[in-house]
Order: sequence, then structure tokens, then C-alpha cells
Amino acid sequence: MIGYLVRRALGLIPLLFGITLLCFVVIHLTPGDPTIAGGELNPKISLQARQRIIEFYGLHDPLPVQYKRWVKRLLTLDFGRSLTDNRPVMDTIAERIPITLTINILSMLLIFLVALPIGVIAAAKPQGGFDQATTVLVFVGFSTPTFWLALVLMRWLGVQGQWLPVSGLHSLGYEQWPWWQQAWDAGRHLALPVGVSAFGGLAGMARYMRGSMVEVLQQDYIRTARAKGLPERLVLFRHALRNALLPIITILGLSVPGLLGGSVIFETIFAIPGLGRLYYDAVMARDLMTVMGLLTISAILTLLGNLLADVAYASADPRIRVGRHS
Amino acid sequence: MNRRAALWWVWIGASIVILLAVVAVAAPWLATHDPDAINLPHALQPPSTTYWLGTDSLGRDLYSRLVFGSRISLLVGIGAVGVAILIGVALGLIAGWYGGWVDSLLMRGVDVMLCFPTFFLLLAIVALVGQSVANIILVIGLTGWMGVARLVRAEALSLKEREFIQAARVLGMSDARVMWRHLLPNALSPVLVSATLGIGSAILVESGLSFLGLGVQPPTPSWGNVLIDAKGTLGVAWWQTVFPGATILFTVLGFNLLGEGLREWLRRS
Repeated sequence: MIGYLVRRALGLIPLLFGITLLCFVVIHLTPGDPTIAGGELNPKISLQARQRIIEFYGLHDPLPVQYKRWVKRLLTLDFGRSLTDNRPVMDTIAERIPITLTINILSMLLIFLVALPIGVIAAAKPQGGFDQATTVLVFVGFSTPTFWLALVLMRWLGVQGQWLPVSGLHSLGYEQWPWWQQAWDAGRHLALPVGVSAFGGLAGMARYMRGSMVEVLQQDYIRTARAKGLPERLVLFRHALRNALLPIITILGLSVPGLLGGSVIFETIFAIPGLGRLYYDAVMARDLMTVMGLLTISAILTLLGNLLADVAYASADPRIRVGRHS
Repeated sequence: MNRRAALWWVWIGASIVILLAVVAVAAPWLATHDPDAINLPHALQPPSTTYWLGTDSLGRDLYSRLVFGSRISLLVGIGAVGVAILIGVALGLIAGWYGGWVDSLLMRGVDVMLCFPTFFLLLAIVALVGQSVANIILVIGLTGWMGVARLVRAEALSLKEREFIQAARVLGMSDARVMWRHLLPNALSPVLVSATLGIGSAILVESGLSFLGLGVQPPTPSWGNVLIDAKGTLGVAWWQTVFPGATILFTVLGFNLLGEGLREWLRRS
């Protein structure tokens, strides 16, 4: 298993190189001078800010020198200081990661809890009533703009019914409350963002789960299990589900960039101070330092997510865990 | 899903798409008001016989804005997918045909692109290069070609071992000609399916971008930027939230049904 993981980790090195290269290209994407983003007369970037970008990236140096410096800084996670509040970009990012991470982990759990049974039941009887009903639902889910769903839920659950708070993470004056009231308050604030974020991934996950189950159910060992007279419940949940879950682990790893990207929309709508909101604010203020820092960090987080999925896969799949590579 | 069900999906999807195309083309005749005409005394009117879907906070007719918005959505959807297909098909063919280090390099490039949250890349690039409709089309296309490239590569890999391709090579056809005349036409149907699905998701992406204020700029109506105004009037004007979103959902559903239906239908025939 160690050997397998080392090989997977080594495979990430060219990707890391590619990521740094692409980020570097984005910096230089603006026609002419990266500091005049959005037009020569863009009032959002002051002369001093321009000067700071030029100095930080050494824009007057030859490209290879610039690239080398940018990678060297990257290794120490130094992305310079924000153009809006002058704090080191990495500090702000580190502050916000836990918020986005919490929401995304909660929403992944929710996706899993809902999509797993749907996929299994739908696959148990392909073309059955349940399967067809969920197929239609999956299509509607795929086609729903999540930002719109957020607005709709906000209106009916938040504004009209006043059942759930619609912005931020805490109520006013929550610091004075006992811990259980604080937890209840945080839960209520998280309900809509987590729900909306989960909805975005639900349709896809239910579909993958169903597909994976259908495939596993056609295997010989399932026929054997049925032939020896195991009840269908055991066949489904003991023999089939465990094998069908394996590819899902990889899908979870691959869904990290989608979740991060989606966080821009719902964190903006629900005023949650996470990475997505930070990125949106930085883009709107044309704060190139924060934008570049976050863009790079997000890609690295994705790589970490993939690596984590590999570790999980390796420890779940006995063929790899025991050491015989497949 | 059996073949007949698949055909049903294709019909329903195609009807929605055709309806949309008709609306986009005939927008000036279908609209009941000037979509940009501000009429403050009539702001935030609920749906009525004059304003079929109500008005926004500037008194503009929502129905007319949605009708004209269909033009932007279709344009961006089709344009972006066009860009994505061009890039994806070219890179996929080259990777699959030449193999070796060219293939590894291009496919690692695809992996790198997939590491970035698409929305992060989109926002950064749009903010840097400016947000005209042409730029939005380009950028959505530039961030959406990876699936097509993988698909075409896989097709090319399996096709190039087939006898008719070998024959073409023996006859002395140039690489470019074999790719264009023999590989591409045979790889076309999966590309068509993914293009159809791609238009749906490009429309979703455009509306999201416009909603965040980084897409199509008001006063030009787009389904996404119509919803910006809805955010401010959430408690008072339900029609402003419900109708644009339902329009997007309906449209994207049409493209998804058409694409998935086509896929199943092709697979079974």
C-alpha cells in the first residue's frame, strides 16, 4: 500500500508544476500590463497598488526569472499582501479555510446520506417505478441553477416564514449565550447554505451511486451470493454496496473543485465569510494578490483532496491494502 | 431506459430547444414592451394582463426582458460550446492519434485544468480581460473543453487500430487528412451528445456569472442578471425570483433531456 501511495503522490508532481505554470499564465493574461486589469482607467486599482504588483511579481524582469521567483515564494506560501487591507494574503486564507471546509464537509455528508440509499434502491430494481421517478428528479436537479434555489429558499424559509436566518454564521450577541444555544444558532445559520450546497451535488452522486451499484450487481459473485440463498437485503448491503462504494471514493475526491467553485455563489448569497466570499470580494476589488493566492491554493487543495481519496481508496480496497497491485 | 423512452426524451428536449430558438429569433415580435424601457410609476407591478410576468424595481416588463434574455443565453451557450468543441476535438485528436509523449503532455494538461475550480478561473479571467459577451463566451469555452478532449482521445485511440484507418494510411493519406476525413466523422456522435449537454451547463454558468455581476452587463437583459434585481426585492416581488429561475431550469432541462436521450438512443441503435 505504501508503494502504491508513493507512486500516486509522485504522479502529482507534474500536476503541481502545471498548476504553477497556469497560474503564472493567468497573471500575464491581461493584454499589455497585468496591472492595468480592466482598462487603463480602472479606478479600482490605484497607482500605488499597481506599483506594488509590479514590485511583487517583478514584472520588469525576464519571464523565467519571474516564474522562478513566483515558485520560490509559493514554496513558503507567500502570496504577498492584499491590496485592500494590506494583510498577508495567506493569513486571510488560513482564517477562512475552516469555514468553507466545515460547510463543504457537512454538505458532503448530507449528499452521501441522501444519495446513497436513493442509488441503492434505484439500482435494486432498474426500470422500476422508484428508479424512473428518481431519474426524473436527477434531471431536474442537474438543471436547477443553485443560486436561484438559494434565493427561493431564502424567500420562503427566511424572509416570509422567518424560520431560518438568511445571512452570516451567527446571530447578534451570540457570544453571551451558553454553548448549546450557540450550537443551535450555528446550526440554524448553516442549514440553508449546507442544504443548497448539497443540492448541487446530490443529483450527480445519486446517479453515480446507481450506476456503480448496477454494474456491481451484474458480477458473478453477486449471482453466487444469490444462488447460495442469501436474502436480497444481505446481497445488496453486504456484498454489493461495499464494492459499489469504491469508485464513489474517487468521485468524492474529484468533487472538491466543484464544491469550492460553488462556494463562491452560496457564500456570496448567504453572506458567509468563507473562501468563496473572499474570492468574490477580491475579484470585485481587482485585488490581484488575493485572487492569485486563492486560485493557487484552491488548485493545491484539489490535489490534496485527490491524494486523500487515493489514501481512502487504498485502505478500503483489500487488493491494494494487502499489497497486491491491481 | 429503453429505446422508446429515449426517443421520448429526445422529442421533449428537442421541443423545448426549438421553442427557445423560436423565442430568441422572434423576440422583437413576441415582446410586449421595450425590455429596457424604464417606467418608475409602474415599478414592481405583480403579473397582470399588461405585464404578463410583472415588472422589476425600475418598472421594466419582466416578460419582455426574459424574451430578449433568451438571445444572450442561447448565444453564450452555443458559442461557448463551439469554442470548447474546437479546442477539445483538436487536442483530443492529436493526443489520441500521435500517442506517446504528446498524449501524456496533453492529458496532464487536462488534469491540471481539472484541478482548478471552474468558477474561480472564470471569475479571475473575466475580471482581468473584461466582461464583454464575446469574452464571456471565450472564457466559458476555454474552461470547458476538457471533457470533450478526453472523449475524442478515447475514440481516436480505439479507431486508429481499425482496418479502414490502417488502409487510409497505407494509401498514403497525410495524418491531418486521416484525422479530418476518417477519425473525426466516426467520433462525432459522442461529441454531439456532450455538446448538447454542454450548452445546458454553459447557460447555467452564464446565468451564475451574470447573477454575480461578472457576466452580461445590465441594462442588456440576461436570465442571470435579471435575478440580481430579484435579490433586492425578495420579500415583495415573488414573480421576479420565480419566473427567471424557472425559465433557466426549463431551458437547461430541455438541453439535458435532448442530450441524454440522444446518448441512450445512439447506444441502443
